[in-house]
Amino acid sequence: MPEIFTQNIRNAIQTDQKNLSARDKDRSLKSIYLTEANYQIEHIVKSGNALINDEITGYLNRLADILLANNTALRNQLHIYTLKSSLVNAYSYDKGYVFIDVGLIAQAESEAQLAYILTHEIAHYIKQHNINEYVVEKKIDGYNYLGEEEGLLKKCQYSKEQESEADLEGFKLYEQTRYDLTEAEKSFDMLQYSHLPFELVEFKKSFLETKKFIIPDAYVLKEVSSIRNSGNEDDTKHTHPNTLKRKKTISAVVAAGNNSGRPACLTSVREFEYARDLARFELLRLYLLNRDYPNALYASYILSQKYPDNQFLAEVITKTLYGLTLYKKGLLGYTRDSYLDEGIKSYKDIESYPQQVYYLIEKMPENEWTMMAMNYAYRAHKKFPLNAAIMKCTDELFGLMAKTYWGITDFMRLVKKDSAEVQVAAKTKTGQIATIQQENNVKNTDTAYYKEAFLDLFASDKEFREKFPLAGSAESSVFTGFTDYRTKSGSYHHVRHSRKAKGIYIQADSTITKAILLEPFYRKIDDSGRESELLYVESDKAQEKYARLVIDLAQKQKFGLVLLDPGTISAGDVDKLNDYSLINDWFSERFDGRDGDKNMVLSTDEIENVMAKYGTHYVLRTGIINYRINWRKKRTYFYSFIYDLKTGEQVYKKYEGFSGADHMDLLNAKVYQVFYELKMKHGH
Amino acid sequence: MVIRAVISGFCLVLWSMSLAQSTGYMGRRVQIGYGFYASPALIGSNANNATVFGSGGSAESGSPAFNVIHEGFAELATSSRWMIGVNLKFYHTTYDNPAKINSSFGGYNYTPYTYDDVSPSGYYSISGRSYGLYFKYYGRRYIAPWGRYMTFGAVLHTATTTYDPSVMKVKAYNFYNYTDTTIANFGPQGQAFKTFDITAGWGRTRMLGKRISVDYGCNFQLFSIAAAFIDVLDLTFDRKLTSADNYISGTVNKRIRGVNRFNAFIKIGILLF
Repeated sequence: MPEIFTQNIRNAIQTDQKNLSARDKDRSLKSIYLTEANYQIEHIVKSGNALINDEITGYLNRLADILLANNTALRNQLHIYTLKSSLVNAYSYDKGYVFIDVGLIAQAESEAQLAYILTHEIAHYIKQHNINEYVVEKKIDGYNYLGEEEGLLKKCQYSKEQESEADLEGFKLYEQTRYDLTEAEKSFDMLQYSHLPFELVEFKKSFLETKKFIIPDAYVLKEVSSIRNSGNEDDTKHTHPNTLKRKKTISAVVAAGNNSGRPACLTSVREFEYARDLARFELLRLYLLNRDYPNALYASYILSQKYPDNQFLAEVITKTLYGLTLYKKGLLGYTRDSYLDEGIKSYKDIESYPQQVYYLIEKMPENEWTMMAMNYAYRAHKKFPLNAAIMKCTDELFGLMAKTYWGITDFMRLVKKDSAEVQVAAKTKTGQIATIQQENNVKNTDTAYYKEAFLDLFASDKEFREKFPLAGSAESSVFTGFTDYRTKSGSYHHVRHSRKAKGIYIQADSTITKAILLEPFYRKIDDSGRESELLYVESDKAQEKYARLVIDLAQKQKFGLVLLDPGTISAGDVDKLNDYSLINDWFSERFDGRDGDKNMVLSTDEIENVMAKYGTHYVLRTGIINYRINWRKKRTYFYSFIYDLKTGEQVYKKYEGFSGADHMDLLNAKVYQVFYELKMKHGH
Repeated sequence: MVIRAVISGFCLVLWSMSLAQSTGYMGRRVQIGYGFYASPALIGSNANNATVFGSGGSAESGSPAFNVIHEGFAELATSSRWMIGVNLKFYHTTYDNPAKINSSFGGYNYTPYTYDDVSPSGYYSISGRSYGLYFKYYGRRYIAPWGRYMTFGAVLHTATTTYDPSVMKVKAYNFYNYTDTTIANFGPQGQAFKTFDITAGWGRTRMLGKRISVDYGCNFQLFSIAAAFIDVLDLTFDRKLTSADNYISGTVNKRIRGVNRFNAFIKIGILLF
């Protein structure tokens, strides 16, 4: 367990502040920075978004060992983490914390490129860019004579200078190793095209076809658009110089260096590719989490070329096809608060081969898509019968098939020609003629390409025949799948909250006596100034106190609580941190961009293990937000929500605002009331 | 009719309370405590015969004058939003005799120079005791006994009056026999009175620790408020009907209303269980 989990953050801040020079004229601003930075770092590491003790992070640390083999003092100051983010990004803090996104590792073309990006971040740390930038930005904010636009330009200019310096200083470190110098230059190409998937290959429709299900060419985009990003965009208002400028600068120093005998990999290509593939697989999970199904499908397609029989890939593809089925049926949507704030883009807005995936999604009618998804899912289920997620998706798709205008009879007529019974009946010549005539009749009326998709399954698969719905049998179909995205009435329409529901309500089927308490939340915000200011230390202290209060009051009412709080997790509780992260992911996907409405959860199948482990399927999220509006006026918000991980429903909600401070009696009364109401199943 | 409406209202409230369950403050639903009420003695004197405005007491001295009431109370949270309570209030006040005695009172052959001249001198003392039954209705987000609330209820005021004949008297000049007449008999020296009123108000209860409550707010009495303009304009009785015998009974309620009409209060309570 990293040290940050066991340190007392307030002591760490004090130590950092003491280390500031007494003669530093920016001491005051830097003290604030150190407070904020410490809390931000702690939040990032403890949020569950940082991978801990994993193989990817282990690999990155080995690269750092190589890079700083001659500078162990500096190496020991560094803490390198991989972040579970699909973005292609890396950043560092002045306390030596370097964070690399999974998305960036997945994009790297060589180990040397990753190594150069690490040196860039290390250079930021050496040069104390983060703290200096903070001071400069705060000073610019304080210059009242500067307009907003001018202030922004000054900040961007300063930031770009720092980035350029980090590029060059990083290169100096990089140059001291044996890595191929030209890879530093190429890393800018990689960054330039990072908006594209990690590989660009033609998306072949055969990937989703079976013997009797051939996707018509009309749904296939033959010519894809060119890649438009030149890397030379206007960077006036950017924090980084454009990639062309950065590349040019590094090209000059690369040209001046000696590049002979320098490999692109100092560990082993196998080790690099293994770490990168792990990142790519993790990326698939993140795409599902973000409900970015087109990218998930395309990335799975790329990886399946290398890993054709991989079960996880089959699972991701099944989930993706299922998610897109819901999307095409209008049962799944995006809002501007979603991770994909523009929703699934039109194929016209996409570059290169991924356009083919978007084109297929856009052009194939929803019922045909449903059938294609089911065709893939069911066969994946047969291939991996023990995979619960694939099985659930398949069952859901059977249900969705019932919502098409097709029924089992549409396919069964054709089945007869392949079925054993027909074969027996057609032993005689007249029988054969009758069969041929019957086939001809059928072909005359049913010429659609997809009508024969399930012939083999109808003929030989009993499970398929039994599960396949009757036409128009949507009401009777069995939904056994993922946490339900439907309302209780079975309608797919999202619940619109009534005014009453905004207050308090309980929807649990029975009294709730045990729940997982997910990191109680407390924020104190000073809203009296020009900008809202989060009071880190006060919030931290209040959060500790609040967590204790919630637990005490739960105990007082004999309510079972399992606390999952990174702030209290000790070295022996790595599992709890993973569970905390998993539940957070579940929430991210479930409520992505939604206010009250829900999405299906596809990325966290392991949630069932968590439920079993803690003996409850309820999660309590509670918190306080206190605003100081002016010197005498305060406002406090209290919330407690309980979610049922089994059904995905919010079963208890209390969200209330109070004028006044966050006094203890308010906290006592409201928290006590929550447990009381849960036990009594009594809401207003 | 009014009584029937009041009883029906109480029944309705009790019925609604019986439907709900009570959370209490951290599970505690019963409290007892002490309350202190105060209001400025605006148009009548207080226990020290001091007045802010008016003809008597400290109106002349200019020092502030307040009516104060002491209260003992017991309350029970019957639901998350309802409390029922009973209280007993004590107070002392005086009536500084601004009312005038009519020329024909007491059977004396008496003609005053002016009406002003025949207000009795001095004051008489009033000891009040009030018995209240009240309800508190807490705001939507609050939980009885914590939070902001409105209150209403009924109160029975009882009061006993005493006077000192050597202080409270009327002097008049008799034109028939050209002598001064002193009247100091205003009936029995101890007299008891009862009145009824409806109380209402609002307040906020804060908690200190787990058991101590601090309640503050204001309280008013509806009949007293309704009678305010009568009291202010001194229209309580027809001057010609007043006599020395009924002087106290005719004026005591005015002062009881004055003391109870509108009060700010602060209470300290202990949550028992």
